[in-house]
Amino acid sequence: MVAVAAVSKTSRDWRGVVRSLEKLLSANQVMRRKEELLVYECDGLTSYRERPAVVTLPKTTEEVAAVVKLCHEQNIPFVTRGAGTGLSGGALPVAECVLIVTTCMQQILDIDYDNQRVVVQPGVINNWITQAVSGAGFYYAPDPSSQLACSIGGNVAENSGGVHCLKYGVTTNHVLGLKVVLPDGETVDIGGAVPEMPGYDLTGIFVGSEGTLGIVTEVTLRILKVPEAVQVILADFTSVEAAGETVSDIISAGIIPAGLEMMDNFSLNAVEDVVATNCYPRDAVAILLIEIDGAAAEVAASAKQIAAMCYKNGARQLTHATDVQERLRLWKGRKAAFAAMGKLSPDYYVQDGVIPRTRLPEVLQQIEALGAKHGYRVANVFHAGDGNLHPLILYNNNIPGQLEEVEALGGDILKLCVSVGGSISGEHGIGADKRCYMPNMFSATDLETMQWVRGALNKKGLANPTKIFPTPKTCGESAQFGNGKGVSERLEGLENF
Amino acid sequence: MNKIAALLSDAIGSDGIQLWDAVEPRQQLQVMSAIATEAPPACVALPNTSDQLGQVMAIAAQHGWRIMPMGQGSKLGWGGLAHGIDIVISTARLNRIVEHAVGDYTVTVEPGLKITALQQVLAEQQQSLAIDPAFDQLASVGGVVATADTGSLRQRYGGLRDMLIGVQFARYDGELARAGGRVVKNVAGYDLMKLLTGSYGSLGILSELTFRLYPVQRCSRSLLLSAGLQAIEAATAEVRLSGLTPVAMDVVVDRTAAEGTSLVARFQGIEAGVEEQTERLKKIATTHGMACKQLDGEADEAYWRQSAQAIRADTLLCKVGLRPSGIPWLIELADMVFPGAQVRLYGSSGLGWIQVEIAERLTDERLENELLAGLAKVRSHCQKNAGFLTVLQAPKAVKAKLDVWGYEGNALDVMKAIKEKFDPNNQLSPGRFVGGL
Ligand SMILES: Cc1cc2nc3c(=O)[nH]c(=O)nc-3n(C[C@H](O)[C@H](O)[C@H](O)COP(=O)(O)OP(=O)(O)OC[C@H]3O[C@@H](n4cnc5c(N)ncnc54)[C@H](O)[C@@H]3O)c2cc1C
Ligand SMILES: Cc1cc2nc3c(=O)[nH]c(=O)nc-3n(C[C@H](O)[C@H](O)[C@H](O)COP(=O)(O)OP(=O)(O)OC[C@H]3O[C@@H](n4cnc5c(N)ncnc54)[C@H](O)[C@@H]3O)c2cc1C
Repeated sequence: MVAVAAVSKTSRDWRGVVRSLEKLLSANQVMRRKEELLVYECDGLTSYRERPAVVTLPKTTEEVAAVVKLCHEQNIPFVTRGAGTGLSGGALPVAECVLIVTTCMQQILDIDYDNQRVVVQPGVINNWITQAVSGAGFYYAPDPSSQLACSIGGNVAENSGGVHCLKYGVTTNHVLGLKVVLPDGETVDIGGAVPEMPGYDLTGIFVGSEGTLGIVTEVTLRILKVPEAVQVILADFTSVEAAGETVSDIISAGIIPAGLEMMDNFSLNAVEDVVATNCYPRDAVAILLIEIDGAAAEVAASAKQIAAMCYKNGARQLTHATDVQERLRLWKGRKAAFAAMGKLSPDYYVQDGVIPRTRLPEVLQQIEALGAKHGYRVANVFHAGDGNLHPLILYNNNIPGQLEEVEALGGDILKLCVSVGGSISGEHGIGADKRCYMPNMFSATDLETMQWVRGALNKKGLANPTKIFPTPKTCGESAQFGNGKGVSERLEGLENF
Repeated sequence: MNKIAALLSDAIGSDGIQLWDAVEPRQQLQVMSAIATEAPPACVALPNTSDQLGQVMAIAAQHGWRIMPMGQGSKLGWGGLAHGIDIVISTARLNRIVEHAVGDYTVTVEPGLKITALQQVLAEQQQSLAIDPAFDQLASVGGVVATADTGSLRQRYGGLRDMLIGVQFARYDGELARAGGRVVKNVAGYDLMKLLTGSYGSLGILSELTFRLYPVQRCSRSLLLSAGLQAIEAATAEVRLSGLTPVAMDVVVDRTAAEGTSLVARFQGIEAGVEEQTERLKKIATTHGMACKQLDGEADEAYWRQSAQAIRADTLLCKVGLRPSGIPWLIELADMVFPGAQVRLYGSSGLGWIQVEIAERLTDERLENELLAGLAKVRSHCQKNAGFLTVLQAPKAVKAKLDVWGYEGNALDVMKAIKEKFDPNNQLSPGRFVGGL
């Protein structure tokens, strides 16, 4: 178990800390005023809030290291924040912490087309990379829907995915190396410009570690050549089963689309209400967006095959797009799905779970039943190709009790995912939101073993404390580890924390 | 029976223990090639289940015995030398397919399963684990993961690290721990799969592995382009910057082959796509004045089968990596310091291997020194190109004189801290890994 350094709220001389920080950085890189801190109280999961004691905005690895060293010496917990679009409370401050924000680290440091690698600072926005290299015919593959806003550092920490990750993989498959400031302030380089460097795959363990092992200050990424031909197919179906069958058929035929997404009737109507793409048929029970890419002849042949499969499974109509603008138009609604929900309802809750793809139809039915049981409608927008579900629940946080009810429903959906052999998160991370569900998926031994890694790197437990792993404090007294026995039974029913 | 064997027999039955003297001589040699000292281990344990594996580990932990896992033993000699081993734990009997979720394109297997056996079962469903089948006649799934090898298909499918989506492993204390799961997308908890891939048995013993699978492609064709190095360099760069999507693209130096130095690209998919792509590559070849040989169907299969068998057990074998742009000069350099060496480099990752015949070189000290000096030169070139050179296979005497891993970075302390957590009493293949871990 990682010890969280005991910090008493009143004992810390924050003025002294701020003075020290202002010596390490310049005064305008250190924020302490209440109004300035407000926007840093939460990430994309707005239902959890906590004010950091102080916010710092370092510009270089050295500045990050200096701030972290100070935290280490004075036992101050610190939390890293990228763009704050995370949906699991990963960048949620903990009480009396220093928040280290990477928004001043936005340089693209190197572009090497010959070797298809780029080196960037962590605050660089995901989409900027593709923008920077597209002139030469390259792109950066992982494309979260938040790609216009989220940072590469956040992507690395969450191992983010996107609609184009079915064929090309998620963030971890594209990160070659990292420069990292460890929780004790030391700087190390892991991985590199070449994969499989000698030694343990530390890059592999850092990606997805949600800021609990240190702060990433430089990232080496692979970039890919833009495919020669791309085609998006929009197919509409009168049943979810038919759409699900089509997904299975495509994969079984040996075709790996670049992206394979499904939206149900509720979500596509929400999108049309708000974004008015005028391309999704409002009476469709489910639509599939299928993107294929590669050599022109290959794309044309696969498109034909896919079209046949759609029709075989009862698709009513198909729209094909090859032109960039047309393709973007078809994708626009999908990418704006979360935002559309935000416009339709005062609040919305996004769940993120994974199931084996073959269980799709049955799980979607059960989700609908769970929604009915809890009294909420659930919209489904998801990465069908890899079984990554994003049930969306609309609610109003001003109505007392609704958030709790919605969280309970979200929790039931997660348990359903685990019960069919899936996972409690496919891309949004565990953060503060789902740590108490970890015992549903992992035994006490599993979690203890993961904590070995945390203990090895984050010795004092100061880096993003309380995230990912359940603790007695966050999930109740029963989350005690160390005896090697399963605690999952004991932790069940602990949805509210 | 010695004390170690007796205690282990009590736990998992005498059937699960093989005394050292009863071990096949071939296997004895393989084991001894991995150990620095002359003293052999007391016995080989052959657990039948992961629970038994855990029991053996727990007993070893109580007594402080040092252990080394073994798959098929085919490449046990790779890596550093362990400092004395009390027990070898063989996964040979842990060879079941736990679940092949056909529709989900995943498979869960035990570590002792041979790669060939697995591929056969998968092939019945037109699926495969997308790694090259080199040495597959022998290699076990666990051994291949523990040594992190992938091969030419890395170009399209990435490394084993990118395919391993879940693990169970026996910890030093005998507890079985899991990470990941059985779904292809999953970010819950730390990615211990990647930590264990390539850890050479130094952190625990893999007891169950789940992989993502890929469909077998209907059409496969390779083009063998040969010419001087300059043309190969130019063509490789052009392919890298083109929209072509070969599943493999290797630069190969092989004096025994008719082509000598060649660029080989493999295309797979539906016929129309393969046809289109190979036509375009042929055009590139023509502009650079390269000879071009097309391999279809059985010839394509045969080429890759054969090239997989190029690695032999009695050579000096190095794994290298460098920025792909440094490949041509590496080839020239290798040719200069190791005339006649075989080289295969994967064009987009910059990984690959160099194999040197050594039988006659080691007859005297001068030749041995030359060999070491040559290795240092090649390693230095790789490192200047952000890469590395690791000596996988070499006579013990040579290994003893150099740092086989060639780790140059500044994160050794982090690796040490991790090793200390996973193996606090330094019992798991001690000394074998980077930095003597
Ligand atoms: C509308 C919307 C759509 C989204 N769509 C997707 C999607 O399609 N796919 C997907 O995967 N996610 C999606 N997300 C979630 C989110 O955008 C991603 O998790 C993203 O990677 C977070 O990046 P960020 O810069 O905002 O990180 P933050 O929210 O600031 O931080 C996220 C985590 O990363 C850590 N962190 C940040 N920077 C660093 C660093 N330099 N070093 C170490 N740790 C660091 C933080 O401590 C925190 O734990 C979506 C979010 C929204 C709001
Ligand atoms: C450059 C290069 C090219 C190669 N080419 C190929 C190739 O293309 N295809 C191919 O199949 N092989 C190739 N090899 C060899 C291959 O990667 C493996 O080394 C070999 O196949 C291991 O199988 P094995 O069962 O014989 O393992 P062993 O030789 O028994 O063991 C190998 C190592 O793994 C450890 N180990 C074994 N089982 C476990 C376990 N369950 N848990 C933890 N540790 C374990 C052992 O202690 C040992 O350190 C290549 C290697 C390299 C580096």
